[in-house]
Amino acid sequence: MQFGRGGFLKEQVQGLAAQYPDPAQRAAAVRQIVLAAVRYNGTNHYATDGSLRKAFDAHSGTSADVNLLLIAALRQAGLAAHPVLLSTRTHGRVDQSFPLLTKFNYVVALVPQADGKDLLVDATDPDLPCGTLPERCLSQTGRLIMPQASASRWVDLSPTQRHVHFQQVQLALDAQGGLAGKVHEEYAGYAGANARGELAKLGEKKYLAEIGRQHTAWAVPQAALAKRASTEAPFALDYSFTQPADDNATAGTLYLSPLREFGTGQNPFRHEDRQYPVDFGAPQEEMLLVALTLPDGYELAETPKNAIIDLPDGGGRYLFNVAAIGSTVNFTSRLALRKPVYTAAEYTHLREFYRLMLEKQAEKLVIKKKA
Amino acid sequence: MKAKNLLALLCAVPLGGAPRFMPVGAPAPKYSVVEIPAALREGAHAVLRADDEVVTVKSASRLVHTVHKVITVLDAGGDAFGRTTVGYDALNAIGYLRGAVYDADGRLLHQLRASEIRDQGVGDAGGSLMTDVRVRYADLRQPQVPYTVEFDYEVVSDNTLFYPTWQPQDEEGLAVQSATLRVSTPAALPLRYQERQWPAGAPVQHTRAGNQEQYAWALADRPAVDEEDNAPPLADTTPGVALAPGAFEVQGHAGSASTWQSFGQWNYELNAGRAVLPPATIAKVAELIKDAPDPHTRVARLYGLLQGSTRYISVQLGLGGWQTFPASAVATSGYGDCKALSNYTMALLATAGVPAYVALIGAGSDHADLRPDFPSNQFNHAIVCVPLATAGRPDTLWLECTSQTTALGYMGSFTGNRHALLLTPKGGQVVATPRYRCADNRRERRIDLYLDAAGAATATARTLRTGQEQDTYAQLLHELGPTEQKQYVAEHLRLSTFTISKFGLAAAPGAGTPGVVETLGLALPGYAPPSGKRVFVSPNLLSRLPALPAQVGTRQTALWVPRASLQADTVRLHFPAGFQPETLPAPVQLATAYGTYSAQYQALPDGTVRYVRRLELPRLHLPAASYAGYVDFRRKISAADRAQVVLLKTDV
Repeated sequence: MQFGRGGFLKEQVQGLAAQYPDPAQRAAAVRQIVLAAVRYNGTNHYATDGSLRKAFDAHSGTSADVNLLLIAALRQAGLAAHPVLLSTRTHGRVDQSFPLLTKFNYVVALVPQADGKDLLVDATDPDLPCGTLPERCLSQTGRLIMPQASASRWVDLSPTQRHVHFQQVQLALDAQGGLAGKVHEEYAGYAGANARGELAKLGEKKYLAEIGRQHTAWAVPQAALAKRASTEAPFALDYSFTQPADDNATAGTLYLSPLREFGTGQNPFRHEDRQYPVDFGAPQEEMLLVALTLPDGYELAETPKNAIIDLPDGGGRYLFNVAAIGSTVNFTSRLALRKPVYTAAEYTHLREFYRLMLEKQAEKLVIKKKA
Repeated sequence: MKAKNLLALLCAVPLGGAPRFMPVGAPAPKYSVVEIPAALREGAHAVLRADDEVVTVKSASRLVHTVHKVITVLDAGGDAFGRTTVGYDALNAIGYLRGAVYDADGRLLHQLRASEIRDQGVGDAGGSLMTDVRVRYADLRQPQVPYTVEFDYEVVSDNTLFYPTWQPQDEEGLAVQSATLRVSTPAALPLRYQERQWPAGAPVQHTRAGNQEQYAWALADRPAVDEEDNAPPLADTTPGVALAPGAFEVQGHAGSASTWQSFGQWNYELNAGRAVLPPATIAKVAELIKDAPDPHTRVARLYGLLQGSTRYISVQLGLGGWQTFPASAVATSGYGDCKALSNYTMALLATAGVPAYVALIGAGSDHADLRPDFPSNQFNHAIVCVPLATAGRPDTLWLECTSQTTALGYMGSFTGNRHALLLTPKGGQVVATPRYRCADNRRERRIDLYLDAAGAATATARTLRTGQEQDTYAQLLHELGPTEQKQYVAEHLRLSTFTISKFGLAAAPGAGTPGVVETLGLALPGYAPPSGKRVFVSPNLLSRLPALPAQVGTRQTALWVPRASLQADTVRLHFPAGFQPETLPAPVQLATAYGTYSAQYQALPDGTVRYVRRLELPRLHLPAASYAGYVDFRRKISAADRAQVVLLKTDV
């Protein structure tokens, strides 16, 4: 194995043991060094073709080059680190009853913690914090390889983060049906990492222009990203928009679906049946808060009904809440999918769940002049 | 910061043994990022620091192309520029491929090693039986941006049919700091060139040294460009120089590309004498045409014979890409590539006394039209042209010989709306293939939409697509089974939640352009939920044209819409008893230079509402300044498409 030949890393990591006495922080610091030194080139292997030194010199390597180098560096820094073999999500499921090396195509590092928990570390994605595995690795179980075969075991690869998307919207409706709004949007967990990746790829100008592309009826005079914090903090942006009134307005009564512009609008489950499980990778959370200010002299003809929609076996919940306070109507729309994977048998429920949620989000408010 | 020190340390400390590419002492920094002017970094993901290309014409049959390219990758968006691929085949050999990568300060990070260059074949899973095309590929992408990659390579070409085209800004987000092209050719082989979108004040430098003619072009300080929506491809908007031979020679076959006539002549002679059919085939032809004196009928029957007894397989080996194998081979084996099948078809028609010619064409829905003012090799496909006449007027028929399912005479998006080079005994002649206009590319829909009292809906839709509108659906019909067809349609429907209760595709018979009929049954739960006493329903179920995003900054490129289309929808909205239409949207009429649109609603005496929508979008190529008007046109259409009929519950 290559781990014994990690001597070329000694100078880079030797100061870290003193600087970071806490193992988790030290592991994160070592990971930062490896992230900055070698670029993941997109190819997945669990073993290297050549020496680790070669990948280090070229500053580019496969998942094996990067993460085996990480393990060597962690050991140089005085941490016990061992390889965990796994199969990426598109590579197929590992069957625990049949030991086949070809079922694996990826390797990550495992650093045992004092409290008995496993710290899984991967150095291929700079947009993720230490301890969060990239989505491609979320395939339920991996195999820890120890020097003594008896110490090797299966490792749980359950995601430590979720996909979290949060929107807080302040809307003002005018008597003609035009809208003005201010939005604060946040992405956290895996959603944050994906947003960071998108931003890096597009650049700030094009990323913010996407808002206008998604909502062609809007004019977006102002949009800004929050100060870019570390990968630990959520990714945030703020923008304001206006939407002109529809030409179809009926005099005296206004109709509006305030939540529709902020949801997906499309049921992702298009087909009637499903053969394979639905694998989201990590649990999902979508939170939408809308505060709608009605125009002067107008009120809600009727308040929409609250709703709670549950998936069987605690698989998830959609919550819809409306509260009218004076001339402001407050909406809460919260979707939580608690499992990363749903079986094919649960597909019909998922599809219906989304349908009910989209129906709620599309509900029209009837706003009429006060008597 | 720490990482930078790490890398510098690595460069200075010698490794175990002396490695092959590490020079003695640290090399001088090259291409540091601070040397890039700030104006060039604006809106750029990468900057082309240098693109020095030299084309040396050695003789009529050999050409050497050397490239020295240096690109600074500024951010993750420019990542792809950190790699390079160089293609080669039996007639093109790679002399060398070298590379190096530098950090932001210009210090050498890594020298590309021969063992790091990957070599693989370029397979064409679609239809190549055998191809000799391969690539060498080098990846110098780095974990830290910015970094600068430098690639040097040389290709020695024995296929002088192709001279390189130089277009440094061939991707968006790439600024050009400096790019040069030098061409050297013997005086006996004068160079032909065409400057495209060439800036004023940068004329070519033409000099003579001994018996060599030398040409030099240079570009400098060009900011990065964006690929805008509905714009012509970058090849038509950024500066470049196309080169072409006069005299050339490939595998012993000499010719001239100076005129279309001579280029066509070369190709005609290369393929002459290969149209002899075996007696069995001749007999089959005679049998098929014996009761059909009319040439149109003969062509139809022989095209049917071709489609029913041959299939396409691509064989691209050296000159095999240009010289057909004999018609007799196609007759016996039942397969051939585009040239062989076209040649075979021409032979069948000749046997039946119908004159026909093979035509070279640049095929593909994305392929640019021929540039008739620059005779050169711009082709990738061969088809057949049959000059017929009807009632004394020309009625040319074009045949696609590589498809078992294409309708007789139909060119479609693949080879329609462009020019081809006819290969005749007198040489080459540029001709136009059929043009498909709005009336040819139709999408006609009849929908019945049934609403129930709870707001759920069902719909039956019958859609006829003709011409280019049916190209995708014809492919679905002929190449995929019903399950995959339905899956495709489900993936592309823009409806919130739906179930397809009925689905079918069938070819639509009839003269003119071919058509496909789609029948669709949909269940739409919650399509129009009630709001108090009212129900809002949008009758435009399937034909909502999205608006375009607002233009950010000033539009730089022309407005380009290459495909004409005509959409006609009639929707009958049926609603349950106890509801009355309260408001119908006002009719909309738009007549602009970008197209025409109309939408009207009518409450019919039988209690239903009829919605009629018509949209005519012609081909457009208009100046950049007209883009704002187009965005406005699309916005108005989008608003009208989303209009809603308001139904009122009358029985309380």
